[in-house]
Amino acid sequence: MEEDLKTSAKGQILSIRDLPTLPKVLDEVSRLVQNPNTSIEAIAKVIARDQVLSAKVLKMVNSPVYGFPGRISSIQHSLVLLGFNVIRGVIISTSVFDIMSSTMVGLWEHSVGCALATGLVARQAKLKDPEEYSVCGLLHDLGKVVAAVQLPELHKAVGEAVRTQDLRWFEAEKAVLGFGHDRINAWLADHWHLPPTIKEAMSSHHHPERAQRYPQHAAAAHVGDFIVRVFEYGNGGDDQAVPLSPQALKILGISLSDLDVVLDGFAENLSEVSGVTFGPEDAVPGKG
Amino acid sequence: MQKIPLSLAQPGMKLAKPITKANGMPIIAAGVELSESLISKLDGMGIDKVFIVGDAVAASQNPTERVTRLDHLFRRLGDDPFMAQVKRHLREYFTIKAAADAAAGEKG
Repeated sequence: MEEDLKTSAKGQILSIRDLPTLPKVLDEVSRLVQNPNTSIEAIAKVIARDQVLSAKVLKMVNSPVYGFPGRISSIQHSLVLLGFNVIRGVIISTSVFDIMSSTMVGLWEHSVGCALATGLVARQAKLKDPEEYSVCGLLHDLGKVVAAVQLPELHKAVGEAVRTQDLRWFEAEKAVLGFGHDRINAWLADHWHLPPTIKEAMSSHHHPERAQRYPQHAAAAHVGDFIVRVFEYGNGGDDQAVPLSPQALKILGISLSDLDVVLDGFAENLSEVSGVTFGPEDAVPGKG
Repeated sequence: MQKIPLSLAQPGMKLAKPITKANGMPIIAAGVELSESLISKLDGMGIDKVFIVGDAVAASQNPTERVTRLDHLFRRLGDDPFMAQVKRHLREYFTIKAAADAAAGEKG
């Protein structure tokens, strides 16, 4: 019986080809970038056509999470500074959470907090392109939101297991579904053609030591998740610290005391980051 | 009332305590509402902490609150020697932060 449930749940998530509609812009843009001759101007133009989306992207990239607070004035500028992978990650996360914001209360805040922490970890470890690490943090729990929408009954059962058995969300997923959001993440990453770095972070943030090709991305998101949970900012589904992998610190080349700088930076920037929400009042583009 | 770093101050927040010079002379009275220009003036004067009315900054950032939450957060991780070390480290970190905040508060 139980095996049947697991198999069908897995099938249900993995067989669904069309997730709740993401903005058409994303498809169009994804098609454009597959052509190496596409210019940044052309991509920016397509994104900028959707004014609501553009406003959200600009609000997001101007938060302290990405290291250019308040200094990015246009979509084109954001593409130049942060790169297409970062902007695409921002579009996917804001769109998915926009549609599904009410499904898991606090998960958006948890994700934005994780983006901030993961970026700070990457900076502390002196990794190249820390913005890309921020996006890894932003997307690390996307599978939870999607599971909540695609499998509402099982989602409820996972929440029930968290409460009654004092499990962490990830443990409860495995107990109820037979697999965790890390697996769903891997599928989503393939579905949206996310770069392998971000995919690895999404699928291995619970076990960075098992990451195949990009252990630093997985390790940074892992430590970021740990930190946002220590501060209890937002809600990842349960109220427990996650086991911190000593391997993750080793992969990043940082020690426990190096985390103090990350904790400082997190506390300093949190309130500004917490302004990055997308209520209906934000549906008007702030700046062009 | 909450003491916050000036970097977290927002227009619309109200001062819970007067802002004073180093010699104790008040510059701005309690009850005054912060504005953008007032905040930048305070910044120019080298004021880095203000007391504001209410609980504007979330408990997440309050180091004293963090110390008290560690046992709860780590309730299932206590048996692991590395996690015990991590927890000790965090306790020390937040305790020092809380003490630094308290000391800064006394100085005004």
